Amino acid sequence: MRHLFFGNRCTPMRLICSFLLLFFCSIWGGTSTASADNSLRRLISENQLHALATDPTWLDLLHFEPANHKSTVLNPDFFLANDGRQNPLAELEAIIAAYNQPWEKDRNNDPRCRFPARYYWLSQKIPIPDLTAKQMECQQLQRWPLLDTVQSVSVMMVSGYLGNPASTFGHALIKFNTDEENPGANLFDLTLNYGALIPPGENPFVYAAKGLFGGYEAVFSDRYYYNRDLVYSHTEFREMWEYRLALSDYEKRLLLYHIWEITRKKFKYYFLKENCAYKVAELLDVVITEDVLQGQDFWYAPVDLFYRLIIIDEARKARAGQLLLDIKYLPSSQRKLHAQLQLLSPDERDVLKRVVEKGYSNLEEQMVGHNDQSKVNILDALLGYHQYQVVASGDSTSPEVKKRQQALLNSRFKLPAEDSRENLIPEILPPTRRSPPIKIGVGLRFEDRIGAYGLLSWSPYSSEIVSSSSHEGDELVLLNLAVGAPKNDKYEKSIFIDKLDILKIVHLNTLSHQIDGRYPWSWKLRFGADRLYEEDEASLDFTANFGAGYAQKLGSGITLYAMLAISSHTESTNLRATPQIGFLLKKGNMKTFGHFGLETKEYSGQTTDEWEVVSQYNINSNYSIRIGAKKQKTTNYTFEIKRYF
Amino acid sequence: MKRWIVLFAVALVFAVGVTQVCAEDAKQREFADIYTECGLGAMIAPRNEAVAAVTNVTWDLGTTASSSNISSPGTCAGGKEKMAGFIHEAQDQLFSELAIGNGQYLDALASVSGVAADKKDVFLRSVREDAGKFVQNGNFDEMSRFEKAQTLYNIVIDNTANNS
Repeated sequence: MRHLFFGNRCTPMRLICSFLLLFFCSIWGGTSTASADNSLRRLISENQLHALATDPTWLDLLHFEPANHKSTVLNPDFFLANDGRQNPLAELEAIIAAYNQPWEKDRNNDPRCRFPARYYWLSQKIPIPDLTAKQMECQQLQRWPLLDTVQSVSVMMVSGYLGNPASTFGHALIKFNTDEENPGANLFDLTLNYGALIPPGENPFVYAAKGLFGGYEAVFSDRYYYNRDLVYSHTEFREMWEYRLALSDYEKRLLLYHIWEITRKKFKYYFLKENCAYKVAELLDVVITEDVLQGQDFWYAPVDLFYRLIIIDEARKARAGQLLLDIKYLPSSQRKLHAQLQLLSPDERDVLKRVVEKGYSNLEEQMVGHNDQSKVNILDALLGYHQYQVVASGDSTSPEVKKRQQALLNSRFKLPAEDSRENLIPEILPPTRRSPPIKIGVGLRFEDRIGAYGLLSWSPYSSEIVSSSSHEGDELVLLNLAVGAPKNDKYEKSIFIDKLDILKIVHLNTLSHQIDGRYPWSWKLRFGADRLYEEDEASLDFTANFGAGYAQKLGSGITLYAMLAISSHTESTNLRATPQIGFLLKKGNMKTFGHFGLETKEYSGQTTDEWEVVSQYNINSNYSIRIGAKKQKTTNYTFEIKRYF
Repeated sequence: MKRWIVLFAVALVFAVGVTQVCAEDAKQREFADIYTECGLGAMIAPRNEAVAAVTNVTWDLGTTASSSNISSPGTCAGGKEKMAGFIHEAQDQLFSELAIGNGQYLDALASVSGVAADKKDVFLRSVREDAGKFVQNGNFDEMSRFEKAQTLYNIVIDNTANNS
């Protein structure tokens, strides 16, 4: 070829021309290469590109928050464009440009393998040539069995857990169901959980502060369902409800692909708002046309997610569609044990109690006189009780516990295997079939000193013990504010704060007693303020109140409790002790909760009686009527109509 | 000739013996390998004092055999590793259900072992029998969780082979 350009002489000028020729050829070739690399881009018009860049699904795939003009994903490698975190258009252009680039050395790190959801979604909008063939290069993705085995997707609601402040309002996670017919196979279903990364041994105050103000990072983690079941059901004794979604094959695949993109990517964690349920809602927004996340400014309770799913489902049903296939109750191991114990005969129950009290040695001797079936019933119940006790006591490693386990297993293995039995466990309605959390109330109060006045109350989260949202002796109320409209201007010149519950919790623990006759602690806690009327003035008495004691359920509708409450007040007497007895009555839609106590007075050994009774009739999950009476220095009577939403 | 037969017989016995020993060693090494390579020891175990604080938090970024293979290394996503992780974490539940003879975790064990559905009952009966002998051997209560899980894993592997 040399002779074609240079003839028989290689002069400097000819060399320069050759280099220039080569230079321009490379540019032209490079331009051609660039054009080929961005051939996908040429399939999209400018208008189309901008429309795609603002498409809600594209923004959801980037976890882009328009209000904050950036994605909530913290990892730089989640974005291809330098400004991809702030610029959805740039990120879209980058993902399009990456489609025809040479493959990365490790295919699994290539954008085509790292971001399958983006390309899958894009393929629904524009024709993407050879997408399937290219994705076959993604070995790790192709080996992921869930792509072909997921039959449905569920959103799990886990009930609140008072043992951990971060779990008080419940939890939400996603489960991918792979084998709905094979019993037990669902324990290996993939679950996706969003949680904060907290170092072990974190100081509780630091934990609270960082959790509230974004001091932690959080990730989605994937674990088999049995991991969750062992924790929620068998350790924390929490109830679960599974809301199974009706998703199309495209929606399922898009969600799975996005899970692939987003797992182990980091976000800022905010306990009140951008928490587990919020992030699950964000994920669902990728595939559900209606907005799952709606209008939450300061607070997103897990139950809000499930109420929203119900609302979308009802709207779709009105148009002959659906979002929810079914809602299934998954009882905790504590409830299963309780139901199992109910099946024992009185004799069998006596043997169980005797073994628990006197010890597990000589089990066979303690069951003398019982036939094999009866022994099986007793031992199966004891095995369930042993597991329950291990968790409840926190002792799983002491020699005594291990010997107990061996003794039980030894005796049980000697007897025949039992076929599974249908064990009817009373269903607890899911939170979405009970009162929603937000409450407003309108009513009248009559107070000894000032007469009657109008009352208006509001709470962003109210699960009162007398409402239909409380299923078992529990109350959790947050930021309940009641204001009064005055009539008597001697005490009140304008609208005033009548009552404030910053946080109020009541936990009457009766299930444990029903299982083994023991009395674990029941307790209540309140931070708040109450209006007080003295001889010639009104004041707001701020208080912190904690009570602990025992509760017992008598039959299906009566619970009694006794507690000692210690309280501090801004008004005299500043420190008080109040032994009190109380009750909770349930009959049909009516619940009544009350207590009577003797409150110490003036540090003199004197006491004064104080009491409160509240009766509420729950018309339905949205409306209730409440009457109440309370005495603390003065007496007041209340009538109120409440709306929950 | 006789000497060659004797030598051959000795070699055969030795080979069989070594194979059995090696097989056992292989299984033990296998569980132990899975335990360390896939971080089974670091998994969140269902002990309430440790777990009570983790419900809404994440300690495990999915590097163990308890996660599907989005985030776990390819070597920890296989059937045996999945089963080992399951047995290690759920051993208390499994021993209890084995003794009883039925349960959700037992069904899951049969499922993850890969035994065909029509052989499941036979498989579980056999696992129960072997597990019962193991529990009644006298020092079950002195064994560590690792040892119990390892033994149960080996029992399941053996019975899976017998029922395949």
